[in-house]
Amino acid sequence: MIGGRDIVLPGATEADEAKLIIDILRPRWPNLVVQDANSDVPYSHEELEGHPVQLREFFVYRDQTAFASWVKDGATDDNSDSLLHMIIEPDAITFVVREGESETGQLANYIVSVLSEQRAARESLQSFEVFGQPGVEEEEEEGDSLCDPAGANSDLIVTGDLQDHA
Amino acid sequence: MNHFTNRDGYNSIRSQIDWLFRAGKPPGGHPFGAYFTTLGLTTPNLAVRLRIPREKLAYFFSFVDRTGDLVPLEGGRGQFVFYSRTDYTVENPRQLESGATGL
Repeated sequence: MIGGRDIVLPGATEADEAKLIIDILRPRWPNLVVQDANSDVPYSHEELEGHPVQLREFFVYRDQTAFASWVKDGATDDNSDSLLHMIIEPDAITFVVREGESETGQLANYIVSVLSEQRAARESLQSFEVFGQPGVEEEEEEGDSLCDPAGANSDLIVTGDLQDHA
Repeated sequence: MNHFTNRDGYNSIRSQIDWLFRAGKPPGGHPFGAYFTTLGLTTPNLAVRLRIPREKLAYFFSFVDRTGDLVPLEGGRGQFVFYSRTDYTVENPRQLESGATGL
């Protein structure tokens, strides 16, 4: 009573990741159809492009033909590689695909790699921003007061601010 | 808790006073087991969420599960998909409803 393979990307999720998933898929599936799991109808092109959609559980079909086939028959041998099912939770994203080596499996694995890179980049940026906060500056100065009376750490913090605004 | 099946599965399970759901190996690398869902008949996109043929939604069994009996599937579908690692018996007092879904 269950089909598909579940690929899980653990880690805190970001609000923009649903949109990012769709953007990653669009060049490969230019006629893709997006549907909220709780809706009977897919999003229109205008709805997807006009406003940021808040998606928690959603489907991306390869095209309108795939959408119609899934609605009519559910999973079949012919259509099972034309749908990615995403579930976004606060601490993980699950991708349900046909199989790991199938087209949808490869697409999901590619999305996982892109999101992982994006999260790593975001994390390093956040570490950098924390380092530049005034509270951190005071703490650093206080901690280093015995060995760094000239306050050399201040230079580092100023550098961080400049780069942040560049 | 619900179990959806086709006509053959329905006739087999309901042939006993106590419903017996046989464990099996599902596709997709999921654990061996008997599978169930908290999703109901009126859930939108039921076949898509379970990723099964619509034909396998033709009949249903509904019952009261015992706490700790069933394991949630790993990942997001674990919110609504549960399984028993072995054959799962539902004695008569825990049986709620069964029949054709009309789906």
